[in-house]
Amino acid sequence: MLELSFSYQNILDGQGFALALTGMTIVFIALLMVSAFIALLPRILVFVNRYIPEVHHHAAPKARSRHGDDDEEAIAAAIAYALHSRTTGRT
Amino acid sequence: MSILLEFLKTTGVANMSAGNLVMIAIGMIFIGLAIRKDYEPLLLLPIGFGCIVGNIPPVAGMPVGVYDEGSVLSYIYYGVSQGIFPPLIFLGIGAMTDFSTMLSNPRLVLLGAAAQMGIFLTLIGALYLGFTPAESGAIGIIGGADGPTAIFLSAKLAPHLLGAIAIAAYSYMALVPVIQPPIMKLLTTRQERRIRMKAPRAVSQREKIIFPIAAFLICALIAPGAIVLIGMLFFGNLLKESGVTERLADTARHALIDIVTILLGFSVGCSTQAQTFLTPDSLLIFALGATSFAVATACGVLFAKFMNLFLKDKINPLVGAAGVSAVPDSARVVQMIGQQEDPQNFLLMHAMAPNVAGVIGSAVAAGILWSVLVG
Repeated sequence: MLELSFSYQNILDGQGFALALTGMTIVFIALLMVSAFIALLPRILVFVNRYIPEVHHHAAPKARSRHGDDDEEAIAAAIAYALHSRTTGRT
Repeated sequence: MSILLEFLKTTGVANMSAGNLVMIAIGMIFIGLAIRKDYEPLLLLPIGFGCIVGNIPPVAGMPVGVYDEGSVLSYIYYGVSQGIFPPLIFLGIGAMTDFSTMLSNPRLVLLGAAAQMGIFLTLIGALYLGFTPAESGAIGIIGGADGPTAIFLSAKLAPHLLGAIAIAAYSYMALVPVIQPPIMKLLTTRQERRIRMKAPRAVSQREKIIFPIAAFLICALIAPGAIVLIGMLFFGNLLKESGVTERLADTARHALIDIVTILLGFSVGCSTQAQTFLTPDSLLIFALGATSFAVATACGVLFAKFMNLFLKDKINPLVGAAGVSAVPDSARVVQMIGQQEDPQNFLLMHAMAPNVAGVIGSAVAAGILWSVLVG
C-alpha cells in the first residue's frame, strides 16, 4: 500500500518535470508530423496520380446480413399486401 | 447437522465483509448509470456486474476469483493483465473510425496533442503524492480518457493498480457529459462558442488508404512503444478503407470488438475485490483521474484559443475539448454545448478530428511512458 508522503522532492527524484516536458514534446512532434503529412498529401497525390492513376477495383463481397432473411421478409410483405388488396377489393 | 454448519461457514453470507457490500453497491450503481442514464452502457454494465461477481467472498481452497491461479476468471483476466484485449479493441476502433474530417482539416490534429498535457501534468501530481514514477505514468494516462490505453499501460507499468485505474478511466469516460461542459463554458466566451467553422473538404479514397500506413510509420518510428496500439488502430482502419477487406473490417468493428468488450469489462469488474480495491491508493487515483480529465479538457480548449491568435479561419475553441480521446462522447458534448449558443452551428464533424487525433496522441503518450518508465 502507498505510504502518503506529499513532497516536492518526490517530483525531483522521479525526474517528473523532465519526463513531462519530454513526453509532451514527443507527442506534439508526432502529431505535428502527422498533421504536416496530411497537409502535404493532396499535393503528393497530384504528382502520384499522374504516374499511377486511381483504379476502381471490385470490392470483396460484403459480409452477409446477420439475419440473412431480408429477401424473405420483403417477399412475405409483398404477398401479404397482395392478399390484403384482394380481400379488400382494391386493385 | 455438523455438515450443514460446516457448509454455512463457507457461504458468501458468512464471509461477507463491509468492503464487499460497498463494492457490490458500486457495481449496482454502475449498472443503474448504464441503464437509466445511458452512460457508456457497453462498458459500465459488464464492469458493474463484474464488480458484483468479484465481491462474492471466495471459499478457501476453491479457485474462483480472478486472482486465483487456475480459475476460469483468471484465464479471462489474462487478456487484461497481459495487455491482450486493449490492442484488439483498438483494431475494432480503427475499423469503425472515419478519419475524413481530420484529413480535411489537419490543423485540428494539434488539439489532440494539446489535450494530452493532462496526462503529463497528472504524472507530476502523482509523483508529488508519493507514487513511484511507473505508477505515476499509469495513473496519468487516465487523462487520455482512453480506457484500453489506460488498461494497456497500467498492465505494463503498475499491474497492482490496474483495477482502480481501469475503473477510474471508464467512470470518467462515462461522465464526459458531466465533467466537460462546466470547464468548456468557464474557459470560453459566448462569442467564441458561437464561432462557425468552414465546412470540411471532400477527401479522396486514396488519401484515406495512404493515411493509416503513413501515420503508423510516423508514430511508430517516433515512439516504438506505441506500435501495438497504434499498429492495431491503423490496421483496422486500413481494413475499412482499402475496400477489399470489408468482411474483415465488419468482423473487427462488430463481432470482435463486442466479444473483447464483454470479456474486458466483465473481468476488470471482477478484479475489483474489496480487499485489493478499497484502499487509500484507489481514492487518490480517482482524485488524480478527475484532475487529469479536467486538465486535459482545459488544455484542449486553451490551445484552440491560442491557435486562434494566428489563424485567419478561426477554430471554435469548444472543439479543443474533444482532444481527449473519449470517442465519440466528447465530440457529442462539443456539439451539444455549441448548439446551446447557436442551434444552427454543427460542430460534431469538426470535433471528430481532434477526437480521433486524441486517440493517436494518447497511444503515443502511452508508448513514450512505457518505454521510459518500464523496469
